Amino acid sequence: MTSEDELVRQAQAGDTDAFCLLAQAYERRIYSLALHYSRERQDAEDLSQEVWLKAYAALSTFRYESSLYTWLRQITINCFLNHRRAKSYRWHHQTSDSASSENYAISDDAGSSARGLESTLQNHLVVEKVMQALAGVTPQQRLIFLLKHQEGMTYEEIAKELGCSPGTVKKSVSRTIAKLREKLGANQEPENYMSCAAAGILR
Amino acid sequence: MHNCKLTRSSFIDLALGEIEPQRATQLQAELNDCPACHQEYESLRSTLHVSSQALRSAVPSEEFWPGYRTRLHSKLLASPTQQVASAGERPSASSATVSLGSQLWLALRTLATTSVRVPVPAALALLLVFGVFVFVLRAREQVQAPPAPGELVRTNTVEVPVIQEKIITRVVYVEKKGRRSASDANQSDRTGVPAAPNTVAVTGSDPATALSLVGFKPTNEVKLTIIKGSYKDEKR
Repeated sequence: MTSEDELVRQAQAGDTDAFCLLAQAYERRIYSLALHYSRERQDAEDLSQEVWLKAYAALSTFRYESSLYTWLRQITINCFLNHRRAKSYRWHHQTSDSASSENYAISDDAGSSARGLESTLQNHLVVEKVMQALAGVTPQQRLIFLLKHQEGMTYEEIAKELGCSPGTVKKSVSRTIAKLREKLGANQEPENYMSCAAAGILR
Repeated sequence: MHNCKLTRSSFIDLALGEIEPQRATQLQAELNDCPACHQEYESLRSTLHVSSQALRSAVPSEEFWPGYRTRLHSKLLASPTQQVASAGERPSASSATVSLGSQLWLALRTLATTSVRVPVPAALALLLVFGVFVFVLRAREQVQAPPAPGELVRTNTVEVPVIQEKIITRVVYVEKKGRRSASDANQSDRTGVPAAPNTVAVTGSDPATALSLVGFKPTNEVKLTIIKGSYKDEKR
């Protein structure tokens, strides 16, 4: 039995500290998904903590049929979908400008002094463009792209989770990538784009 | 034979690993032979790589996480599940009640937060049916509801003034003889209607009914008209 399984067993018995240790292992991935999906820090925190609360409440139903993270990701997707339905009015009124850099802080690793100010600014610019591109697609398209590109899920897995066809998933990914290429200028000037990436976060 | 359009349509699947190994090898061979397709594919891969790096770098700094964990811990302690677990540890008699209450709370919360997708036309049709049902129900209540046996019925009598017309018929004979004029005046008295203006009362005793002769000028020529019969013939 791994240490994770032992922590799960303790958490199922009501040990909050054991559950907090489990949460620490995946908190960044869940929060990152929530942040890129909601594009707001406060919403990301609310969403990710809602995921943990639901996971804690439903932990007794976890049967080890999949990995803990797969099980957590299912809860995360459900939370995102419920959140989108509850706040659907807000999505319609949000503009792409709301994906400003103030909601996305470059981590300390990316902004370390070794890279210098110019590199940090270029990183900031690239991150902002990526976020603007993600803001330009629908929440479902954004979620599908994140699940595919960040989580590495297959088209079939995503389709099963979201209740749509693999063809829809494929089209959504294609549209989001087209938006990204448009925002990053990859269609017009691939050389400049590559140099920007090479000078920044591709190191 | 290489078809650039067909090859490029598979680029996303190739870059995301959603293609069979055999087809992937075939595509790689085509990319090596076509510089334009190769450049296009590299551009796509770079886009995905940059976006992936950007997403990974856009996370909060290390200072963020202790506070996040503290907030999560306090929420976990305040959650109903934790309260149930704590109650289960105590060997009290009220644990079953607490468990039932928390289960009820969880069920209510699930019910309150569960949403169902309903197509807009179906929702509108349901609303319409509900509205018609309520309208018909209210209309029936208004028409068919008999007064209760013990209900006090209050009756108000309202007087509405009705204008009654009185038709008065009179016959006026115009003659130069005073006798006829006097009889006309008498008839006027009986009916209550004053005599016609062209009636001349010469010998009437009532000064109110007598007409004034001021300004009267007799003509020089007198034309006599003999009328056979009299007013007595009319009475018969």
